[in-house]
Amino acid sequence: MIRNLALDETELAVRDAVLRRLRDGLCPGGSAPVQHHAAWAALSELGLLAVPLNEADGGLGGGLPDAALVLEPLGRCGVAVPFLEGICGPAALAGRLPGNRQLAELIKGAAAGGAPLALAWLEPDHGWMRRPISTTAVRVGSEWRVSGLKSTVRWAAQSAGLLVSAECLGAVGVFLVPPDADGVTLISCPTADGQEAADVIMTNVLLPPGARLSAGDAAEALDYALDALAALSLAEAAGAMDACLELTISYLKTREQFGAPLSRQQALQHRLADMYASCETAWSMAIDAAAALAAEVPPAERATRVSAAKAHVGPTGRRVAQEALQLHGAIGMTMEYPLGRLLARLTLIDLGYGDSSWHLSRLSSLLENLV
Amino acid sequence: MKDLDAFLLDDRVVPFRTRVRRFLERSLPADIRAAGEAERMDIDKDDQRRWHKILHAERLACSGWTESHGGPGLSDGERYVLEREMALAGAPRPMIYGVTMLGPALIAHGSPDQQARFLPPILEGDVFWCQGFSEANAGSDLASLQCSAHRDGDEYVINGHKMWTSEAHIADWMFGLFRTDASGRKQQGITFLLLDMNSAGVSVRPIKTFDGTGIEINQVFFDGVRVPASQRIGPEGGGWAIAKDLLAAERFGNAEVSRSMASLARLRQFCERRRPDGRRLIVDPNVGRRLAALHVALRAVERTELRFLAHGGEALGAEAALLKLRGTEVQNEILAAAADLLGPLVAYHTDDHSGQAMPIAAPPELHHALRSHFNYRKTMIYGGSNEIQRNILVKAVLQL
Repeated sequence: MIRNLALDETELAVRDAVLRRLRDGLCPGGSAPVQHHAAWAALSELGLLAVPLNEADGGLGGGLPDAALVLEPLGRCGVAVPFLEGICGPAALAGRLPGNRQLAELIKGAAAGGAPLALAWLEPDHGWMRRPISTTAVRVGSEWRVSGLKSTVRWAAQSAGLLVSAECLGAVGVFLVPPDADGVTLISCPTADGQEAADVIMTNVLLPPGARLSAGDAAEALDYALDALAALSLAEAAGAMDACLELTISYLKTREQFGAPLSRQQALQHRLADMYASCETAWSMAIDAAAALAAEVPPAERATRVSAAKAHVGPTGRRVAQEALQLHGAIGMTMEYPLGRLLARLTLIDLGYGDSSWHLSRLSSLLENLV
Repeated sequence: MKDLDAFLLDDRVVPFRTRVRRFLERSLPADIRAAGEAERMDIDKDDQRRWHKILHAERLACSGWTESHGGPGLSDGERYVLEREMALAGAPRPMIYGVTMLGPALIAHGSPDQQARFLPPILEGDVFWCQGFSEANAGSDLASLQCSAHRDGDEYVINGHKMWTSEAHIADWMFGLFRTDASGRKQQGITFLLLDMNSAGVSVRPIKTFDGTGIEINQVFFDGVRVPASQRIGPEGGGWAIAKDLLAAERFGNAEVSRSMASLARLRQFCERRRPDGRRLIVDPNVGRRLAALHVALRAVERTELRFLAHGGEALGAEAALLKLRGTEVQNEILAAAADLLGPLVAYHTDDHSGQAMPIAAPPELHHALRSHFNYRKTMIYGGSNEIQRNILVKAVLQL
């Protein structure tokens, strides 16, 4: 439905390749979501998980913004894989903390179909605040000792490594922690949008000197990575929103009540028109946020654009899914029908990566300083 | 994935923007700018002409016209930037009925003789036009219009009325839709005519509106008004297609994104003022968040407009309806916020009809807040109401 994605031929070919592959037996159609392993393997075989990486590592050349080309069809098809959290977020961090060969290799391994990474930054009772960080890292001889509790860490138990933020020598540090290291306990739980997450409890975890990924303060690198998650989640949201609209249109065209298809009711038509308008504005903001991740965009401008986009697409996507459910009626509530999963994902995108309230507050502060 | 702004950063657009900014700093008269900053659409006729002639001398008037008819020959990016810079500087909108609407319609549908006769006076800013479309019983359902023109030799004779006609009280000429045949489908039998407002039998009754602006709209009566057939555009009965073309162009401009950016920037500036406790209004989190939310809503329309312009090309059609729909919604939210932020002083009604001054010194930059908050409700009604825009999206885009 979205008219003209504003992509060039190569970009469109990548996006369409992902869409085609997913629609070839990988879209959750029936009652249960497809196991993420199958989609993960299929996309990696086509090299599509490497799209946001450097060209030398199989990337398309546009860097992180190009991840939107993969996420839009993932959202559209409602496929839950660790691409956003397990490759894009870590790649953003690696881009701002260069020289970490081990991290780069782990990301390449994930893109080749291996285990993803996991960004462990959220802490209980901290809401969406990025700082201060309660988890601590202290030096013990030449080693690091990390302690703290991280919550809702997506794909932690499935990961090849946890990227843990910690207060370290008065600055923000990021540490590579093996999920099976001594002192690490994972308590896993599936998420409402069909992914996996875990509490990560770290008690005096001893790590080698190289586990600290940043020489100095990693605050901006972490901000960039979290902005990347927020920004790129919106491409997934835009795809899911469009899927909601398409499902609703085709359902209302066939569902007859009062002797005519429901799609002839103007009261419903106007709600579809508003849903459509939202899909278009959401995609515009999603590509703007993705483009703001380009290396040359200064941090304040990036943060402004990402927060504006998140504050728009998050709530708008949720509303479109809610409207879709309302227009469907009871069938939309069933596990059998694919709408519920889209609604759950759109809800958790709005309530993820900084919710709209957090982003609006940040945007407000950023704009205040512009005058 | 390329930045949408790349569209505005090419080798032609960047120097053009600089040129336009310098020109506006130098040449926009302060009194005209003040009217723009007070959100006025009812700019005085002489001021509209004065500004148009300044623009024309700089070869920036009639930006949407082809070069062969005297337009400046701008690229899409340049036109976009021109509109943006003019709005941000507080310059008036172009003379909409002649410059924006009739001109392109004449270029597309007029005969060479008609183009030679009617285009130059618009370009020079000498003839002021109005649009005779709506009638009392033909609003959203425009095709049901009744005002009749019957053929009498080389002339049409017009009888009936037009309603809600903006600027008819100051217009020299009108272009309009008239019924020449009532026998077939209502969209057939509509003819596009141009007429001199000084013709015998034309009378104009201004309509006061509740919002406190001066006269903007009128009822126009036709009593045996004779119009030469040479002033018919396109074939007899072919007026509906021309009008649809022209209204589609209006819809794009009606998103008013640039105007809203200027309004929001002024509102933000207003919120820099200090309250009695010494704190700036904007540090109130409720105020800051409201401005941020408006920024978000407006940017969503702005980014979409830019995406459509940069990548929609010729294919862009009915989708533009969503720009008008969302653009005017945001515009009204911004002007509502301005009224809210004025505080208790908003109650004073500064009415153009009475010439009443404000009783005490209110913040002059927001004197107009309530008036424009009321006045701009019209943007969601005119040019195809927002419900009509939804109908367009439903039929042409969603194909229900």
